[in-house]
Amino acid sequence: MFDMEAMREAFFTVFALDTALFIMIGVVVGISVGAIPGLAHSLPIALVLPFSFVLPIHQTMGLLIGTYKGGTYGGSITAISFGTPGTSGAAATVADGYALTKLGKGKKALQMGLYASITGDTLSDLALIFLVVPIGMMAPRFGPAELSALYFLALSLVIVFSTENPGKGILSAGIGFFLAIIGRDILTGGLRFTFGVRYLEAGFPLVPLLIGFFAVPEVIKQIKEVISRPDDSGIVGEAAEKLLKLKEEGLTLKEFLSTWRGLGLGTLVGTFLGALPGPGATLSSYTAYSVTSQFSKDVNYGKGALEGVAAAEAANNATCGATFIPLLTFGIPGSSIAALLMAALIMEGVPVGPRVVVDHTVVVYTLFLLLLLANPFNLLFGRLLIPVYSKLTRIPAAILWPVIAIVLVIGTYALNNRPFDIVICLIAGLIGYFFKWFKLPDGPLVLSFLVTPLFEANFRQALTISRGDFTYFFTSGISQVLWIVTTLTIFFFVRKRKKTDAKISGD
Amino acid sequence: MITFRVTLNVKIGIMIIIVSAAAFIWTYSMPLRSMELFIPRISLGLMGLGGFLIILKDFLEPAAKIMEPKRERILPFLAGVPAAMWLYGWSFRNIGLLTSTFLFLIIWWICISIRDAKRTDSMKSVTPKILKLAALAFIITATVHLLFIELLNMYMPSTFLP
Repeated sequence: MFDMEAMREAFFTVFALDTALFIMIGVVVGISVGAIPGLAHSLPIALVLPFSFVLPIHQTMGLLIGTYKGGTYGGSITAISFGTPGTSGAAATVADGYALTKLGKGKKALQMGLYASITGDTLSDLALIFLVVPIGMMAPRFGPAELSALYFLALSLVIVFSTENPGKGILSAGIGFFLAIIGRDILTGGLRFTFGVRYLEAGFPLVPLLIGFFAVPEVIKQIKEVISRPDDSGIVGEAAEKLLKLKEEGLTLKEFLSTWRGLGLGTLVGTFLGALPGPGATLSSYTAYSVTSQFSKDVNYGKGALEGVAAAEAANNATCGATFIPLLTFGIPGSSIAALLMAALIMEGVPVGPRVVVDHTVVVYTLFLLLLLANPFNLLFGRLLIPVYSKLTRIPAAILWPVIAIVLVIGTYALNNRPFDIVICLIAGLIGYFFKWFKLPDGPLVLSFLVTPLFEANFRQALTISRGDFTYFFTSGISQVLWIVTTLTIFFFVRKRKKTDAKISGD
Repeated sequence: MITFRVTLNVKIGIMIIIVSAAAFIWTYSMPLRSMELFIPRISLGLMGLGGFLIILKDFLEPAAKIMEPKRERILPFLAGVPAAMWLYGWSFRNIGLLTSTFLFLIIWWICISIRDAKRTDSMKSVTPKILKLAALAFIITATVHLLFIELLNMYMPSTFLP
């Protein structure tokens, strides 16, 4: 039920100068980093994560949500201006966006990207607000057996969606499972795989793992580029400013409204896929882009159509709000960035899971308002600072990366003032580099690392209740539905993949 | 049709299977209850299964479609960059945050500037460039100090240098 008192409290917390300031900083940092190709926007989120230890929840989440939304949009700036997507989620924008730039309509494309992002984002935030409370009210009906089935479904989805090679998805999930069980057993207290290291008794620390896993591989890659290829490193677009002629004609309202198919389908696909664990922004934008191509009447679709930019960008940003649906209702992060946001909530003392809507109503309403409030900031700074962001791509890597490296090390140490965390961060970085090199998807590792303690606790609780009877997992209606959905999903996607492979081989 | 070919994917897959199988067997000699080892065994089983599927995919795919990881000289960087980062972590705890941050940045930038100057034959302009970078290193060091020590109140062990 709607709690007016909680909403009032959340409203006065969010609509304050300090919160607005943190959202603003987040949006500016997010767009800036998102606009730099190679810098995934999970990196600034990982970098600002330690702040959750010292800042109150509304400031931390304002900063993180601003960074997330800004970063998701920021990737499109370089995708449109230079044909180099700042983030993988903006890759689908390149075809039409860059083609428009080459046709001298770069400003139109950039503005379309911005407005489509804000439209998709706002509508998906509204979907979140209207869906979370009903789903959250249903969540307490989930017992250990139902939750085990749900976590199994989430893990299966993320493996199925994450990669072309299911073996790599399973391997990634297996590594995540393994890292999560290091430390004391949750029920008996027995030590598992600590190898005599005292610091590991409390488990593999979450934040150093995430910081290292996402950021250190980038540092290694970029420093390698600076040393081994000095001519190519650092500058992305040779004729950045020339391409970005901001004096040209901007987007008209008529043109914006004419892309309603792309905007609508992009938002729908992005919200739907964003709410599922696994697909993320990249798959959503590609799916929306190809779905829209079936319905678009623009003959230039794929060769420089505003509708293509609208579909890809609306879908890309529509995942931002939707990713909070499984996070806030069942504690399942839908993507690796959602996992970082979940980590921040956990560090702020909010146990994300089925009871969060009931037990932490003010926090949930605060998140809703923060998500909505971040959109006008994204619009404002996206519009004002496009020329500045395009120049960010010209910061030499030799200057940028050592600075990021030192912030990473101090940020990791600052969490607990424990040098061991730096070691964990660097080990996680090496694992992350192996993932990049071997093209293993990161989603299954992060999701299984976060979900395993919940899965194990519920799984063992269910077995204790049923005295070791495994049929208990299939007795309730909810769990039966979940197991059927899991089986059908795996079957459907395996069959679809086989068909696609056969089609490609035939071609 | 299955074609047996030894690609880099296959080699890594085999290595993963061996490691996970060895760890799986090792769990039977651990002084833990079977329920405590249930999830660890699942995780090791998943890793083994993942390795097997990676191998199988390379056997089933046509040779032209196989995506192999890039073979490039990366080991020195994999060792060097984390070592440098660890060294920086050690130095700011033992030498001082300001001193080590400034030194870390300026040493790196001097090396890169001299290398670039030699490469482009512009040694004359290297001194002003280094002076500018020194000023930038100073600003970044001051920002780091303000952010982590003054604003976030991070604990730092007392050191001889600032």
